[in-house]
Amino acid sequence: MNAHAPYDPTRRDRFESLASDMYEPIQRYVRRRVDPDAVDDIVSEVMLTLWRRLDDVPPNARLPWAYGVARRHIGNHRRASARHLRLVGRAEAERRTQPVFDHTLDPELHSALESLSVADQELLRLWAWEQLEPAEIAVVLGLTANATAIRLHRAKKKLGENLEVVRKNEASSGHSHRDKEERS
Amino acid sequence: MNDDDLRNRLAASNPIPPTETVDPITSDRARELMEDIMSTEKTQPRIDQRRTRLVGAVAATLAVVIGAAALFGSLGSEPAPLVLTANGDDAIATCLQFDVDLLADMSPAFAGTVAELTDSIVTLEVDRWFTGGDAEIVEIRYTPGFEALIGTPSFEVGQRYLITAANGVVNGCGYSGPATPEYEAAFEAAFGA
Repeated sequence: MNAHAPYDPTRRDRFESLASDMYEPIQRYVRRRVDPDAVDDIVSEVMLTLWRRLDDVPPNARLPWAYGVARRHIGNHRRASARHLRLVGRAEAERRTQPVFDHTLDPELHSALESLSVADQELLRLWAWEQLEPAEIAVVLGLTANATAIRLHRAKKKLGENLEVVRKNEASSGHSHRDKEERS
Repeated sequence: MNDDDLRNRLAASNPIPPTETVDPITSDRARELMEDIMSTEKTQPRIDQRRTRLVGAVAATLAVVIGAAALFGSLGSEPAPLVLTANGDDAIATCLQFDVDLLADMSPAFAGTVAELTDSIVTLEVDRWFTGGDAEIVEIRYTPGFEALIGTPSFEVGQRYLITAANGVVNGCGYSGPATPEYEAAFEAAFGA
């Protein structure tokens, strides 16, 4: 903690260097996960946290650590939004607090991913969207590297199995659909 | 499908790929934001020191059970419950002078409003996590006298508290208590969020 840190003339320089590396990836991380209206506020909060906790940023894992900060801010935003949006209905609340996902890009994958737990989905997103390795994902999630590697391995396996199920279901419904067309 | 194929397929579904243009750090907007941030002084929030004199020890018989129960119609997308239990281990053996640095070592830390109350269980609806969890609901199973430990005459439905715990035991002695703007500022300073 740096709550009582003495005046440090290099602090601004250190933050500017950190901010120049973090600002863009943090924007993408946040945009992937929240409603566009909330992105700017959350990014500002993340950057403010980086400034306040500059001395806590691990030099060898700056970006994963910053993602972890963003994750907490997004979590707080979702909780606040969910309560607020109950007024406008659960469906709308869910839509506006779910990670952004273009269903049309790969509906089969979307369907398979949605069958996983929220925690597993996020592990896989960090792995593929942020291109993080297990040790880095561990920093984001505050887990041990070992536990993360095991959970990621299981999540990948489950996603692969789900994809197979979705593929088979679609093949089967495709057959039925063609059978019906042929009969009619 | 091997790992690389799976990763590539997931990456292809990324709604904001790494090449997506975002506001650059050199933009006027970013410069203004960074200047605003760097003009923010990190100051030690003023804490009501009476809180630190309230009690002589931390309750050793509390159990904190954190769960994301659907009690309040929470969204199905919330993470799986985090459950902490306590068996009497002290978080802080004796009351220490309140210190933001020490506060920062506590986990979990959150703000929540009392939603349900019995003689032994206070149920809080969390509106803000500082660290150590993301549950919607926190249950504190307490024994009589705990209220005094956290500086409140009695729990009341609708009252908001800032709570920390260590090793599953809720901290008293100024490290948990009724929410005030000054107290919340201390949490913000401690956890940087």
